[in-house]
Amino acid sequence: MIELTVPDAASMEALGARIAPLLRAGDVLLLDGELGAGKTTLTRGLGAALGARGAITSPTFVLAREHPTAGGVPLVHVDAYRLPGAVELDDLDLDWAGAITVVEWGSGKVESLVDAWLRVALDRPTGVAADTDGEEPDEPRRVVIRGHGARGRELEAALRA
Amino acid sequence: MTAPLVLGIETSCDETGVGIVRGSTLLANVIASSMDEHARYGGVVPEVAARAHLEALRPTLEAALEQAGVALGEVDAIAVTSGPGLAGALMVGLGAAKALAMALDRPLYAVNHLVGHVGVDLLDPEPLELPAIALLVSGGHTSLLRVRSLTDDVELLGETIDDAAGEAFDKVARLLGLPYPGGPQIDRAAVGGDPAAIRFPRGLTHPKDLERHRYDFSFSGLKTAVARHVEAARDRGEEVALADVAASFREAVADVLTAKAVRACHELEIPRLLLGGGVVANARVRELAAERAAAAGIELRIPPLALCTDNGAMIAALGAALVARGRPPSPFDVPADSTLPVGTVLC
Amino acid sequence: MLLAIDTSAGTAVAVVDRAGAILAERADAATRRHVEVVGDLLRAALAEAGIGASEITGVVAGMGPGPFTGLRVGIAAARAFAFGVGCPVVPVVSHDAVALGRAEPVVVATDARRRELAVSHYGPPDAGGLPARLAGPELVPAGPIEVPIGATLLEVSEIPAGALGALGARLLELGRRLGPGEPLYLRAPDVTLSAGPKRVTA
Repeated sequence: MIELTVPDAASMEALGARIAPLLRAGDVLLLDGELGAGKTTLTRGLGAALGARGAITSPTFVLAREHPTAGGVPLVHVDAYRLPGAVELDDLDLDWAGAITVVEWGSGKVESLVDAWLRVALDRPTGVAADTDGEEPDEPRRVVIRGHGARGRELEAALRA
Repeated sequence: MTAPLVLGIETSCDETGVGIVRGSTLLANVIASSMDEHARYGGVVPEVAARAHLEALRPTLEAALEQAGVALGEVDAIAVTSGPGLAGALMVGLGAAKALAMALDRPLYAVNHLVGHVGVDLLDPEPLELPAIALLVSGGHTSLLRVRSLTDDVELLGETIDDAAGEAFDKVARLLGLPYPGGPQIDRAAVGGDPAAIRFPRGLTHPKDLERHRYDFSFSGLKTAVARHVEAARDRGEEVALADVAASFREAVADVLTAKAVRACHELEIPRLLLGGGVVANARVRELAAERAAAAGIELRIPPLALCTDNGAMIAALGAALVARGRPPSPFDVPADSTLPVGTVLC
Repeated sequence: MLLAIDTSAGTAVAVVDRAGAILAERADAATRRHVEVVGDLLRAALAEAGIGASEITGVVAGMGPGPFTGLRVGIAAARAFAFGVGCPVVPVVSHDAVALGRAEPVVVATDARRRELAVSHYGPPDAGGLPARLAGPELVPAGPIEVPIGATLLEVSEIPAGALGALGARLLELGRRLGPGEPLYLRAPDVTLSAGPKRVTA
């Protein structure tokens, strides 16, 4: 398990960029965290580092979006929030083996579909009456990274190194 | 020689659209929507949309031909959306369009959905003079474009870096306990609310953001701010002032959308602005756009609502423009591309 | 002349004559490229058969079972082609094409993803020489398949479009209908569609 504090959005993107070069086709990244915790921000950093085509934006509306990348392995960005379970996630007919897949809100759904994954849990402070006077709140996030399955543990170890 | 008769097929999201145009004259625009089926999932479900497209395609084609009063054999070209959009949904329209083009021995034009939203203005008796700025806002897209030529030169000035505006409406509606789709729900909840009650953030409008994201949008911070506002009120044991929150949120979205669009018109010295996409249905967005465009001396164009939301007519119109320009048709192996860049008008 | 299209596994296209003789057959085994290849395969098959699209008098559609996204491409193409030339669609269960012409009982199995197989059981052909499906298609967990004594297991990764076309020709000749009008998704309960068709508004 890796625990980090990520101070701002730029650092969250940097974390994504750090994970990116470790990934290959078949790898699955599971992102957990409340609305606004930084899941898409992390994915944006990851996508930029992979040379993904197109803006990495929230896939909540479309559920899944495929970005071709410079390295040839597409980045598939999934938002499973609206999906009740693994069966519905599987209905998306994703090519898990042929892509790098990032699944937001994927806990409890991805685990039965793939053998290994890297889980990144993001935590933002909640409920604080923020000063939102035209400025976006940008507070530190607590990040916990844990690999599952052989490949997931391998990724966790590589990230720790 | 008469203008080309083009049939357009659109299946990028939850609307099965077939449109028929002759040159720049709209003959038919038929839409079958699976929106109702998605409502209970809180948003579009690709598998539901794709299944519905397959079943709706033939009746929609038949209805469009009847509405246009033309026979299928008279059609000169087939245009179809090949992206961006839901991959599985796009594939239904594209697979059908290829087979239809083959059966009729007619050329196939696989075109960009977003450019189609701009191309719909061609159907206006007096199309907007180019270059023009276009603001496209829907559940899946929030993009600002500079259009010098519809067929050859469409430039992405900016887009959302996180949530699409329509998506922000859906998410905030969910936060407030309102059903999908969020746009009309927020509109209803905002009645009587004070749009200035809460100063929610306007994403990417600060000087430091403008350097990197001059024409980009961000609605994630806004969404988070609403979430925090609601959480804070509940933590204090207070009732959430629904009308004020809804009105203030909507104001923030309308403000930033129209401000950036008007800024682009001003800075790029293009006093012409076209709006498109489903979020244009939002009265406050239209109102504020009209107000600001008038104040800035910008000619504003908002197509009729049936041509703002996803439809086949806009795809047919763009196809007809490509035919008229003598552009070669698409190769038959053209793929569905869920993230097709806006600069690619014709695949 | 009949055109046959199946995308329940890879992409397969064939042109057969009314007697069921195969004039052209084209296939691409890739399981995620249906929409890319279907157009060129159609063109190539028609060219090889040496006929124009307007000479097609029926389109045989493989209705699955198969993974949804790809399966739909072929059905959409078959329906659109038939609409374009103004001829009927002949829906056929894709597994039936594999069983066609086998004298003995067979079990046909194809990949259904999700660690499942789609399986159909057939007895000896019926009096018309058509495959007699006793059970299925249905989903079973991937792994060893139960095969009745005397039956042959046909676990295939491609559906032969030529056989699909030949079966369609035979059905037309006999005035019979074997296949379903709707795709065999086999996983319909995941997303329950409304019973009625979508509203079509101008």
